Amino acid sequence: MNFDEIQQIFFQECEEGLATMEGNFAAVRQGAYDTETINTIFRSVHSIKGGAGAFGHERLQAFTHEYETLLDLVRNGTLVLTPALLGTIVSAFDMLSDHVAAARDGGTPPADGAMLARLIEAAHAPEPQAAQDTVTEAATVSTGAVGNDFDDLFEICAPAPSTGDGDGGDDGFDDLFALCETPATDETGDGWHITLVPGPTALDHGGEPLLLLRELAALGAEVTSCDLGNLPTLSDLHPERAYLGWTLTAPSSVAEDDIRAVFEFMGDVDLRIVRGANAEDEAPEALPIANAPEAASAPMTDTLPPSSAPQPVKAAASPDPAATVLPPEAAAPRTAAAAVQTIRVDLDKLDRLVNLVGELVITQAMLAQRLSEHQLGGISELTDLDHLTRELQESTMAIRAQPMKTVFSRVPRIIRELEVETGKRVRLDIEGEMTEVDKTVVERIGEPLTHLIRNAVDHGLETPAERLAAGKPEEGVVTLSAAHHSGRIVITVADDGRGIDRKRVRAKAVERGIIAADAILTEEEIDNLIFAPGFSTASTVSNISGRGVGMDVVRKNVQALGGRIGISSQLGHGSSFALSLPLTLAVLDGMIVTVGEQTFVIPLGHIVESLRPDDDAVKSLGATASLLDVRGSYVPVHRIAEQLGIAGAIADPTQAVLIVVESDHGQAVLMVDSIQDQRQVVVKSLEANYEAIHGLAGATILGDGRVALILDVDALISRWRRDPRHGAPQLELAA
Amino acid sequence: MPVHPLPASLDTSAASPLRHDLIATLDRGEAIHLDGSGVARVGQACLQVLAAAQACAVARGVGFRLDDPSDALRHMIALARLESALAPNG
Repeated sequence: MNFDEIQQIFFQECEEGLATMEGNFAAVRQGAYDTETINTIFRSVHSIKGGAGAFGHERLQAFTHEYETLLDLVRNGTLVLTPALLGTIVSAFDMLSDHVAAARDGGTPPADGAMLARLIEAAHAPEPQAAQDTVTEAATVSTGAVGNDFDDLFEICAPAPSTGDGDGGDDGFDDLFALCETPATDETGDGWHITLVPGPTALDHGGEPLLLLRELAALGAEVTSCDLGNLPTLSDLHPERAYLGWTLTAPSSVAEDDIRAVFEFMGDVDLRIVRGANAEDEAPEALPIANAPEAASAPMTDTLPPSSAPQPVKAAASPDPAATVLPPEAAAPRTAAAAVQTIRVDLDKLDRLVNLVGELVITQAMLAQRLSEHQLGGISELTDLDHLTRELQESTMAIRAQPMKTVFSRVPRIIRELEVETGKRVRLDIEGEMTEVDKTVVERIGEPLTHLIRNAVDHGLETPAERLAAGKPEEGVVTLSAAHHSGRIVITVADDGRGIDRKRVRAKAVERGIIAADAILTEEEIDNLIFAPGFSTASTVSNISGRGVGMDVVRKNVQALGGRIGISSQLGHGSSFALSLPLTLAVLDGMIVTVGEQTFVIPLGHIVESLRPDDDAVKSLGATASLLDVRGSYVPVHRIAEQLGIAGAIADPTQAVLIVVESDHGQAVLMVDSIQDQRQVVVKSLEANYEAIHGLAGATILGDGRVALILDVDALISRWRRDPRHGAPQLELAA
Repeated sequence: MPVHPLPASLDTSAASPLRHDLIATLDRGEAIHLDGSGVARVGQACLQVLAAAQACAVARGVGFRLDDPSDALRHMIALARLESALAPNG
């Protein structure tokens, strides 16, 4: 692995760290946070700083240094997290994101002078503010409780009563030391023994090994001794070289991976992690170690306790012969079961695998077809192969699955910026962020989702004054959710704003010539007018949304992902946009149908039912138009052959097979000659292999080797609705 | 014996001037008497300078005292297990 590849991993981990921070900020805003929440935010910044130093991104490193300093003061309780301080921290987070992006893309780092000044100023705030100024009461209680941060431990023990031996001072220093000596490891003696020796250059680039100790202490580790063996005399000492080393113990409940994660991107450090009570035997014996003083001998003065000069003391070895000493390699499997292990795989390799599995599925289908032609379609081996192939395909697709969190984590920043731009107050509620979906969907849903969110804030939510006048809370709520539903993922963007004013929408559509003045439209059809090209109801055009060039593009983008958008809205109470998307774009369940000599695939997700109608179920309207009576509702029959220009197809609906489908435009009926099969097909992109064709979502290869085109049901019906009398005579290349 | 107040920031950049001051004190044959009450930030670099100064003071038979350490300084000394290495002598 070369430098660039390692650096790429660093940037990926930066993204993960930023996403983690964003999630934790959301918790802080809601008051549902504790010491560990702040610790997690700190660790993310600390890791980014470490990597930035290692890869020479000096501006990023300098910024994270000040950011980390401020966060450190918050997490150790020196600074109280007031709303104003939280505002500074979150603003710095946004700038940190920009810094990471600039470092990753080779761009110009953001102008961070003002933000650095804010960070430094905040870090030097003279006194903690009163508790009532904290972000939430819950936070105060939480951070004040016994946490796992070592500094918190000292905060608690500092006011402990003196043992009062007459030497003056009442700061409980003895108790402090006594508390420090309380073993952190479990009583079984099976905990971790950690030897940590930062290298000479560990202080370079703002490195601070003491923060590693604090990180380890936060995990529950205890520093048992400091190794001063390499410390030169004062005159020989280089002030910016690291000379100290430490020995720590940690409970066995701490995962080794968590310990090692503390040292992520900390290059110049000699680390040894050993499990077992005899582990200290493994420590280098030649190194003198300074131990903590005995609690009983420590004086009660406000001066550090007297002692002779550091004496070389060999670390005590446990006499317990039963305890095991595992080398790091052997210890690792003990934690493997608890930790989720991952490896990073080049996406090209993964895509090749997905493609090969797709080919395997097609070949398996062809094999099944050939065998069935020889009356061997029912053999058990073929059934087994079918099951295995499908399982392999599902497992392969699962590799590409990613949580929606990847997309959702960017939304809070968008909301923050919109609050500033619009003057509105917005609370963002996120649900289902761990819902998994194909990587392609994750990558391509960001843009339409961003537009919907901007639209929700800009158009949906009222101003604070308007909300108060309407009897609503001043703060509007935008809810972003993701969930699996019937084999699809449904992403919803909802707001509790003013809702769609259908009279106004209709009037605007008439004014723009989108509909006739006397057109009769359902509420759903009026709502869908906002997706018409060029439609806008914004009173003033803003740079956020309202140019009327967005919502039609949103719908196209969603449709390109095989998805559709549904709207529900109530005037005065808000709107909800639901994006229904396939879980993966690589395979789909489809019905294989024939029209004339052609074979098509209709995605199963659209199909409501299929039937061969009675004569009186079909009502003719003129020569070519028909309606199907579906339990009392008349649904227009859509003749695929006419629209796609296919000769030789059945023309009489009563002789054909009618398939009722659900589309963005409501129900419709597709007329085909026959149904051949229902199966999962591998989608081959027309865009990648030929070019986009309106009305077709892709192609697939059937078991007999023939190519079948996959119908884009929404697009076909949309065109037919626009001009039902003149279907496209030929397949039309999309512009 | 003059008391030498430690600066508020004892980060890595403060280690070199601190070392210089302490060497000068020892070279004058004076004991080291430090006031840690104003320390707000402290890192490894300065702690090891202080530890080396204490060892040097012991070797030369002069006193070493670090009085009134601030919470921040005290926390870091305890965290790094340097209580003995920075303990007063003489």
